[in-house]
Amino acid sequence: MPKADSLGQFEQLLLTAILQLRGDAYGVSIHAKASELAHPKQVSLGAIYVTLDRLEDKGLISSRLSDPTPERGGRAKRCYTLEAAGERALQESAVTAKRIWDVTASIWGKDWDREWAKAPRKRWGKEIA
Amino acid sequence: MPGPSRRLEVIVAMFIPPACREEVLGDLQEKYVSPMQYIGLAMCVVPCVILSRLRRTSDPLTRLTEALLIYGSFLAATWYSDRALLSKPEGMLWVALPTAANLIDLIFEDLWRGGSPWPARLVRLAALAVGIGFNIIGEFLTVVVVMGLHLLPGLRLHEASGPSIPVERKSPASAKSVLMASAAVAMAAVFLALAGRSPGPAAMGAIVVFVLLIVFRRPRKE
Repeated sequence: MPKADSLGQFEQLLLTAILQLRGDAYGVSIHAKASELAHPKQVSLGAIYVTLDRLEDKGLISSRLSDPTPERGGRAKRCYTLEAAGERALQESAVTAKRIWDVTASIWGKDWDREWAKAPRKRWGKEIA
Repeated sequence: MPGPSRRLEVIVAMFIPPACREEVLGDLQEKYVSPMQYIGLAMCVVPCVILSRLRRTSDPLTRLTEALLIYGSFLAATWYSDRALLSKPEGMLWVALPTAANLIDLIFEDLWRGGSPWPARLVRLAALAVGIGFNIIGEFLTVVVVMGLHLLPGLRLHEASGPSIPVERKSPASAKSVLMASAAVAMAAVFLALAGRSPGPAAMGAIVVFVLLIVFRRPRKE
């Protein structure tokens, strides 16, 4: 099995989406969930495919084709499942994120994210549409 | 349930590598709102899908080896047929161009594995047209194939049998078709030798067979 490197933010996002979607994790549903998690950033469907392929090559997820459905014009979905290595990698990332959160909360206060969310027009000195 | 027209879907499907065509077309259909939105989404998604497949079907080291092998073949053929060209500044570039065309052909064949390899055919036809246009088909082509394409199938067979290469990255089992093609050209070479190294009618006939075999060979079923 290929060695799993440390995860990038987008990879963490997709692994979280797959974890949450459980058995119904396929291209469109992962895109919807990842867009929700990445809000207000936009997520492109093409980037989802590229990253899913990369995660599969790393052995963090596996895929299988489901039965064809009429709403997809009789085409099958490629459903993704989190592998044990993927779960471990996501846990590691979550622990790191938790540590970062603890430090930022101790300095900026526990509600800093709420303040941040209230001022969506200006974040970190950048204008956000 | 609204969906894209059959014609639009066929056009988009042509540009999606067969290995992921089913799920990508299904996802695009699920996100369908209008024909223009469908085309816009497909234009964003398809290049990413192609690049991802390219990464999965290509091993950089193998591609480099193939490139060197093909380049060496063209270099040898140029040395054999027109040695003076190699001393000119543009000589090396002249050799690099058919090398690039061959490499693109191999890449497309790997990408479109399991379906109609129309992009690879397009490259072959373009290369053939250029070959005819510049009158470089004949002894030159025969030497190229005898020198290089006999080695290439061996390399590709070796890659395909490598146990350490993940299934997705294995080079295509295109060895069989290349073997057939190079066998045809080996015949062409024999004809050439019999004809006293000049591309007479028999040799030209064998070369035409080779070219037809290369351009119109049937896709592999996996």
